[in-house]
Order: sequence, then structure tokens, then C-alpha cells
Amino acid sequence: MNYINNLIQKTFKRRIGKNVGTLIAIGLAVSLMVGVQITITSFATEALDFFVDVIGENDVIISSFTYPINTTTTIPVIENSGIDYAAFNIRITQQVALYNLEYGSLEKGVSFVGFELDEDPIFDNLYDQNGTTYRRSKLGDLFKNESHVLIGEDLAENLNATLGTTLKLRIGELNEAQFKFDFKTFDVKIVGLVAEEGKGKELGGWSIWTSIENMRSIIGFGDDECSEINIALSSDHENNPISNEDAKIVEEQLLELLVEAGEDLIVIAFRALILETADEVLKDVLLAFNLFGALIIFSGVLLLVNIQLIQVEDRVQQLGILRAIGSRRREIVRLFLVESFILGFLGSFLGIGGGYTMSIFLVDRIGKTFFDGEIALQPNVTAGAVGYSIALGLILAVGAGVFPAIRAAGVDVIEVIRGIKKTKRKKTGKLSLAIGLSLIVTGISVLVAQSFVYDSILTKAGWNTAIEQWVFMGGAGGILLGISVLFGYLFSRKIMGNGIGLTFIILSIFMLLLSLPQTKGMEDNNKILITLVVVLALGTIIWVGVNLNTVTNFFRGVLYRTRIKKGVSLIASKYMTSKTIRSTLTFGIFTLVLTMNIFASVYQATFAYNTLESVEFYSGGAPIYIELDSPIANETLVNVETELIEVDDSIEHVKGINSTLIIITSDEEVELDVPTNFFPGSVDLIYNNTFKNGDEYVFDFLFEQSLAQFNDKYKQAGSERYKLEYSHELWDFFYNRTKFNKDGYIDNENGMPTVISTTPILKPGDVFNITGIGFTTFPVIVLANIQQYPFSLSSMFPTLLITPTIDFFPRLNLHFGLYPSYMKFLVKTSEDFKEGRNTIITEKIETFFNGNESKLVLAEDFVAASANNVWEEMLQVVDFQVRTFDFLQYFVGFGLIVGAMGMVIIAMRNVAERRREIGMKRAIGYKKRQIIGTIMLELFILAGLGLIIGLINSIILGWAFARLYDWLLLVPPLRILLYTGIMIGIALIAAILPGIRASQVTPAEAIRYVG
Amino acid sequence: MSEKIILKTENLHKIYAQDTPMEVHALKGINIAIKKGEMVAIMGPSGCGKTTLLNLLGGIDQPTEGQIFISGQDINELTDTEVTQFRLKNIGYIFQLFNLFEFLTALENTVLPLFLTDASRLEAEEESKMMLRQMGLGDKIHHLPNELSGGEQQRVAVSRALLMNPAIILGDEPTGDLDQDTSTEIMNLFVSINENYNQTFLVVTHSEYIASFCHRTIRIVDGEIIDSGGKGD
Repeated sequence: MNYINNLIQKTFKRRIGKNVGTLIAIGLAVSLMVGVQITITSFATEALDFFVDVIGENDVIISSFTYPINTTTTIPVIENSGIDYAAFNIRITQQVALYNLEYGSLEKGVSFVGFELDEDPIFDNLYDQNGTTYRRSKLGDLFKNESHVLIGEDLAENLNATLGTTLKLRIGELNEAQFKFDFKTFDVKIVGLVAEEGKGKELGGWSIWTSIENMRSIIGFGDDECSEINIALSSDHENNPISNEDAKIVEEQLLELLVEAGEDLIVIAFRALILETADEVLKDVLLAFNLFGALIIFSGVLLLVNIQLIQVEDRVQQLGILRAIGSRRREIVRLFLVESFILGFLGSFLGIGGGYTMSIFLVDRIGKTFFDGEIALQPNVTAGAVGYSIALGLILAVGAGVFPAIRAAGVDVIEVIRGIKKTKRKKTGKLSLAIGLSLIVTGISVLVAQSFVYDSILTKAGWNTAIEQWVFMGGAGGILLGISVLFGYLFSRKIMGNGIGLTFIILSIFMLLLSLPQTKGMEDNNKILITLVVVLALGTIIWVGVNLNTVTNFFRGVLYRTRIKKGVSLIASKYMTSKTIRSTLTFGIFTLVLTMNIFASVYQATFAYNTLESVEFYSGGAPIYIELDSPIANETLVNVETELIEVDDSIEHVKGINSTLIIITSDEEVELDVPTNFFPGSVDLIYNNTFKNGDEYVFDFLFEQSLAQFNDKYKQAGSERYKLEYSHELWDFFYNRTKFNKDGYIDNENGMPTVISTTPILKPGDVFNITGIGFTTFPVIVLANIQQYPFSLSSMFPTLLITPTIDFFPRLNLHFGLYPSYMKFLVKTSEDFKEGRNTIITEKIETFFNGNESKLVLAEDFVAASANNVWEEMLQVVDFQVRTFDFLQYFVGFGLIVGAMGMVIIAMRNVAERRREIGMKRAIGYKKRQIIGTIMLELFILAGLGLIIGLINSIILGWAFARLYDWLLLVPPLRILLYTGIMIGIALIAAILPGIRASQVTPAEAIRYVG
Repeated sequence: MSEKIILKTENLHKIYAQDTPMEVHALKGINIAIKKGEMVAIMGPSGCGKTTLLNLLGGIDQPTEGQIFISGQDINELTDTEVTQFRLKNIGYIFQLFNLFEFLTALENTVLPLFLTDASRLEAEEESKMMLRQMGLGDKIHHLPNELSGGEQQRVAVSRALLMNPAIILGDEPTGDLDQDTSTEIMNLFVSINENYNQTFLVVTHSEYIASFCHRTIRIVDGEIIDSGGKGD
């Protein structure tokens, strides 16, 4: 055994150059893995930290939707609840618009906060622009005057305001008698700036602050009234965190106690809600990152196996001699595994450095892509990540070394010593018979078990979730792979390889065409889609790898027709075929990375094109919509519907819509696609003439999905006219207030009223409760999703359409009393949807409401209006998606770059291994440039193969996806050209160095070289 | 055999690692002349400079001093590309070991030199097949080297060397890896080619037996010719 240890030491020293190459390749592969991991972790933790910063220590909010909470009755409920809280405070907050008349600057959505000056510092202090805490006594002095406020620094800057500036705001004053707010204009004077520091800074930054006493006086609240109570369950969440579950228990407890006390208030586990929402939002992004990351990591593994195989192949002679002098197979395995371990260990350290460098670029790109560069994200390297990297490097390097080590141990002494190869048996052994049969049995068992555990695959329900489809893929894949392995036993390995490759390909195409459309939700859809990207990529790699001979013959045939010398084409193509596994691993890396990259760009182009092409149709003839922050108090002063038409000759029609906020609470038995069972939304009250002018639709709409009984007879492939008519029919049905039961069938006696959802979050058949202010909740059922409705772009929160005739409207009607007038308007213009003057018209509309000459402003009855051009909004939505996909391509691009660097090392090692062959070529008459050409051509063909397969895979995937959404498939030629260019560049870079090195091989020495 | 000199060297020297402590004076003023159609053996003990001489004659290494004329062309005056081109057209090489590309069939190994010219694929393949048939390998043209015996492999190498109708074929221990019967078979093949086509051969060998097939034997010891005499003993 000692001689093996001795040999390891000697070989390491003697093969230092080659080992450095291997080490770098391992380092690069580990870099990919570590880089991906650090990037994903950094994104997740930094994004969550961002939200945590916003929240501060606030766990639970008790709110009344700006309506007064009676502190005399509510506070004792909290104090006597037995809940272990750290502190609570009371505040009054209203959303207002601020106006600086002098500069005509207006800012909307500002929180006007009235707080107790002696509230617990747990809820954080206010800091001045120097970062110094405002002393409570100083605040008391500042707020002695009712109109004095502190203002967030950035907000002041946006308003061109500074210390001493007087601003106007419009605020609702409680009219208790009529149970509504009367809006009035109020002047505030800036007496201090608030720096964006400390916990909860983001909320503090866009606020103005006064004492709660001043606030009560301004909006007519009594001394024992407030609009929100914040409860901190921990004074330091970083060191003493509160779990989301615990916070939700407190939420439920408080809700129960308040209901018992007769207080009908909203209780929200705010922190848990924000964190879970963030988690939910991140989940989709992280899913894409992780899956794309997994593929990059997989290409790293291919790189590792490749380099380890070279380690074996260029030492065949040495191994043959070792075996000849009596080394046992396990000693050879040990020799390789020890080497792999040492190289893996050292490579891991290199990988940590490389991965960190990679993550610096990626994390920075994340900040720019997802946070508009507002957050400077830093790579987050933890001790765990370092440990993970070393472990991963070792596992992968040693793991990737096992196959080559076994291959090394299997070296035939006679073959090596005599330099010949024995003809090998082409069939697989008996073990494969057992493996094949067990795969088939397992596959069948999985399919049978699926029918019991989930829904049967013979029913539609058996296909509607990702897990069911995964299980099916596992079962069906098992059977087909088993059959392939049996074919290997009965016929040949090649047939087995073809069977395995085709199993993956056929399975993925079958799933793309028939199963993918069955998935219920977008998330499941994406999971399956990305799985299929992997399966298809693997299938094509295996299939092409098995048939590499045929493929390279084809390439050679093509190359023979070019000006490249046939001697160069012949050697390049034949060498690749002779090293099937290594060639397959090489083009496999390119195939994986390019399948992902090209698919992302095909999807990106298809999504952007189809979304933008359809937006005009789906906007329903309203290219502009307007949202007001508060209702116009004096409608006799201005009638928006009639006067807005005068603003621009192109405005043809204006229609107002009543809209109000509600709270949606899900029924415990019904699972909604939302992170919490409690979230805000709004309802738009639609009259029969809101969309129609007589019998004609002025603003049109299209339903996407509806309850099963309507959907089943709906023809998906119908013409647009048919779809519109169908939607109108459904609308009339909805308007005539038919009720439905939980199962989605008409039940006018005991059923629930219906609503129409403008968001895919709330789907047809979903049952939940909606709550207005001061009313008990009532259940509703979603009748249909409206495909596009201009306002669906306007809010993060779901919007529901209701009609004035539904049962609960009289109760909501009072709620509308808070906002008695129109809060939204649809505007029809005669301008071209994309190219027209709609942006100019939106500016004119905003001036109509908010300009210095506006009747409303002059009468100090100003409302803050946002006029939006749907086309522009959509461009922004699409732009964000495009940036996201750009990032994914950038992300995967690193795989491409590192893969290419790995290729350089592999190609360099190849040259070292092929010195004798190169010498022979030179002796025959190959010129130096022909030697370079041979090496380059090999890499070009492999890179080209990756490009072609990647392109075909992407088109198959893109086509399936486009088919799913009835989209037109768009293959972006510029991107494809770009990737082709990159591949040529990579092949050039990866080949030129080894090529030059090869050409410098001295033929006289090379022909004597025996490895 | 004609009187025309096909290969001539004048005062050929080769010094490895010149001006270093490891300096080796491998060839010391070699002067040889080989006539068209002559079969010459170069013999000598290991390390005497036989292979060095062959490499210089083949243009795959450069002499430190002296000149080499093949078909009247001083190959030292040629650039690397020119000498490569010259080698392709004028010199056939046969090696002792690993002399075929293991991933190419007999036909592909043979056709390589023609594939470096402008000959069409069909022409080149037809010519190679004919050559292989002449070598008795007509039924093995699609075999890989590891599917051929040692003698068959060497015959493929000979086919490749002959294909371009070179001025001279250089053999570096062409039978070194073969048994006596196969060696005889290969040498008889050389003799037959030499007689039928007036092909010039220069063969480096250790073996007196192999040298006996040649017209004369040049003996080298320590980089110097000690005998450039007649037919080997």
C-alpha cells in the first residue's frame, strides 16, 4: 500500500502542471455552485431584511380603516388579554395628498401620522437630518401649534419644501352624525425634517408627523379615539424573534377578545403578513433562481466529470504498468479518489473566491433589476456557506471522480501494454436485466399509488397539480427507462442509450402538449415548465451523445463541402466520436446553458410581444384611467364626466366609478392563492350604464375563466366577436343577481352573491368574506375572472366588481358614504392606442385636477388625481418582466463564461494528451495552422451542437408555452445571433490557446511521446 | 536504381541543449548520399543519433549546422510551412509504435495525406482503397487499428506513406514492434515496392536481419558515420 501513497506524492509533484489545470477546473465548477448559492441566499436575506427594516418592531396592528377606535374600551381588552407583549401605542393615521402651491408640487399617498409623544421607544424615535434623535420635550414644543408638522426628508425635497414652508393637505373630518368624512383643506407648516434612519424608516420617510392631540383636533376625533393600535410582541426582533405562527395566534386571540367586547375591528399580524407576503413573492423568483441555478450547477458537474475523465485517459499507460506490476483494482480506485479528494479540497477554496466574485456581479445586478438600484445589495457569505462550499467541492470532486476511478481500475493491462483495444461486448450484463425489470415494476407501482394518494390519472383532476404531474413523470419515466434498459440487455447498449434519451424527450414533449395545460395555477405551471426544460435538455444531450457518430458524420459531410481541408475535418470529427463521453459532457454544458438562455429570450420576446399586442384589445376602449385619492367635495363646482371632455378634442367619453376599500377574509375551508387569509382589496361599483351607452358597449371587457357550468360550454378557440358576445351574456347573467352555492351551482335561496374578479389571485369558484367598515362580514363567490380591465393595473390589491343590485350593496352603500363620489374614471379617446397623444392627454387631465389654474385647486377643494396611460403602464410592466428575464440570462451567462473557461482547460489538457498524435500529423504534412484548425474545429462543432440543440429545445418549449396562452411564438433573431456570436467567441477563445500550444508541439519530440 | 541522388547531406551537425551543461552533440558532420531507388539501412547502437538523423532528413527537426538536399531542394532554406508542404509531397514516414490514428479506419488513416491536398474526396478515397488493396488489405479498409494485427497496421502505415508517391520513405524502426515473421513480411513488402516502383527507402534499425533486406547499411556510432558501405552483412 505504501507504494501507492508514494506514487500519489510523486505523481502530484511530477504532474504539477496538469494538476493545476484540474484544480482550476474544479475551482471554476465550484465557483459556479457557490456563486449561485451566495447570490440566491443574498437575494433572499437582503430582500427580507429590506421588509424587516420597513416594519420595525411592529407585530400586530388593530385598525378601523381610519374610522375611530374607542381606546377606553379597546385598550383594557389588550391589557387584560394575558398576551405577553413588549409595548403598544396608539396613533391616528390618514392618507393625504400634500400640495405646495408656490411650486405647484403635489405628492400623493402621504401618511399623516398623529402619535403620542411619550410612546414607547420600541416603536422607534424620529431622527433629524443629522441623524440625531428628536427629544420628546422638543417635539412637545414644536407641536404646540396645531399646524406644525415634521416631514420626511425626501418627501420635502420632492415638494420643493423646506423648513418653514407651508403646505396644503386635504383631510377627512369625521361627521359622526352622518357616519362619513367631510373633506377639508388644511394648512401645515414644516418645523422639522425626519431623516430616513432607524427602524420603520421607509414608512417614516413618506410621512408627516404631529402629536395625536393635534390630529384629533384636526379630524374631529374625541380624546379617547384613535385609528390604529400597534403592538410589539418583542422589543428586539433580531435577538428575540417572534415566529409568524405565534404572531398569528395573538392576532386570533385579540380578534376573538375584541369581538367579545363588542369591538368590530380589524386585527392584522402585520409583521407576519408582510414577511409571508415577501416570502410568497420571493418564492416564485427563488424558484426560477434555484432551478436555473441547479442547471448551472449541473453544468459544473459535467465540467468536473469531464476533467476527471481526462485525468484517467492521459494516464492509461501509467495505470497499465501499475496493474502489470501487481496493483489491485481497489488500489487504483483509491489512488484516484485520494487525488480527487486533495484536488477537490483545494479547488473548493478556489471556488469560494471565484463564487464570491461571481456573486458580487450577480447581486449587484439583482439590486438594479428588482429594486431599481435603490438597495445596494451585498453578497452574503456566512460560515455555513463556506462550509457548504468546501463540502460541495469535496462531494462533487470525489463524486465526479468515482466514475473515472472505476474506469481507471477497469483498464485492461494487455490493451495498455500492447497499445491495442479488445473488442468489447456491446450488450449490457445481467445486472441490467434486474435493473430494467425493477424500474418497470417501480414505475407501474408509482402510477397505481398516484391514483390512490392523489386523483386518478384517468381523470382530469389527476393532472391539475405539479405534484401529480411530477409523480406521473416519475412513474412513466421509470417504465420507459426500464424498457430501454431491457433493450440494452436484449440488443445493444446503443439501443438502450437511444431509449433513455428518447424517454426524456418524448416524456417532456408529451407533458408540454398534453399535461402542462391541465395545471391549475401559474406557480404549478412554472414548476412543471422548468422541470420540463431540464428533462428535455437532458434527453437531447443523451440522445445526441448516443448518436454522436451519426451527428459528426453529418457535420463532416457538410465540412467536406467547405474550403476547410478534408484532413482537418476528418480528424476533428472522428476524434470527437472516439471520445463520446467527453464530447457529450462538453456539448452538454453548452446545451444546458443555451437551452436556458435561448428559452429565456424566446419566452421574453413572446411574452412581451403578445402582452403588448393584446393590451389595446383588453383595455376595452379605455386608453386612460384616472384615480383620485379622495372624492371631490363640491361636485357642483366641477362635473368631471362632462368637463373633462373639454380638456382635449380627442377625449370622447368619460365615465365615473364608485370605488371603496374592503377587507377580504378567506373561508377556512377554502384555500386561496394568497399568502394570508386576511388582506385588503377594493370593490368597484359597476352600474349597467358604466360600460354601456344604451345597448352599445362603450367600454368593453372579456372574461377569461368562469364557473365550470359557463366555462365548459365556452369555446376557447372562438373568434374575438364570439368571445365578446359570450362575455356580454355572462355580464347580463351576473347583473341579474343570480346566487350560487359553494359548489358553484345556482341556488337563489341559500346561495351567495357573486362578484367578478379582476385578478388571477381570486379565481372563479373561490369563496371568501368581504368586510366593510363597521359591518359584519358576508360571503361571496367569484363568478368569473375578467381578462383585462384598465384598473387591474392600478393596484397591488385585488379589485372586485359588484353591481348595485346585489344583496349586500345596501350595507356596503353606507361604506361608500365615506367616499360618496366617484373615485375612478374611464376615459375614451380617439387617439391611436400606442402611437397617439394619450400621454399628453393624461398630463392635461392631471393639470385639470391639480394644476394651479384648476377650479378645484383655486377653490381649495383639490383632489390628487393620477391619470394613467394604459399603454405606458403596460410598457413598464413588460419592461420589468423583460429585465427579470434579462437577469436570468445574465445569471446563466455566468455558467456560459465559466463553462467556456473550463473548456479552455479541458482543451489544453487535451493537447497535452494528444502530443504524439499531433507529432504524427506534423510528420505526415499537417501545417501549424491546420493543427490549430483541427483543435478549433472540434470545439466549434461541440459548441455549435450545443447551440443547435439549445435552439431547437427552446423553440419546442417556447412553442408549447405560446400554445398554452394562445400566443404567437416569437423567436428573437438578434438574441439568437448574439448567442451564436457568443458561442463562436467562446469556441475561439477556448480553442485558440490550446490550438496554438498544439501547433508549437515539436514533432520530433512528440512522435516519441508515450504519455 | 538510378544514379540520380535523391537525398544528400553535407556536414550535418545536431547539438541538443547547446551551451548548457546538458549539451549533447548527437550528430557530428554526417555526409550521406542516397540514390533514387536505393534501399538504405541506418544502424547503430541506442543513442547513436539514428532517429535524430531521420528527423532531420524528414524536416521535422532542424540541424544545428549543415545542409540537407532532397530531390535537389535544400530543405533548410524552406520556411516551416514550406517544409511541411514539402514533406507532405516528398517524404513518406513510417514509425515503430502507435503509427496510426486509433480513431480512424484503415482507409481514413491512409487517405489523410491526400485529404490535405485539393484532391476530391472520391478521388482520394479511390486511390487509397487501391493502395490498401495492393497491400492486401482490401477486405479491411473499414477496420479500426485495434481490429488489425501489428503487420496489418504497419501495412496501412506503408500505404499512407506511399500514397503521395514520395521521393523517399523514411522508416523509424518500422518492424521494431513486430515478430520475426511479420517483420520479414513487411520488409519483403518494402523490397517488392522498391523493385516494382523504384521507391527509395531509408530505414533506421537495430537489426542486422532487417538491414540485410537493404542495398547498403550506414553505420553510425556516437553521431559519426563509421561505415557507409555496401550491402549489409
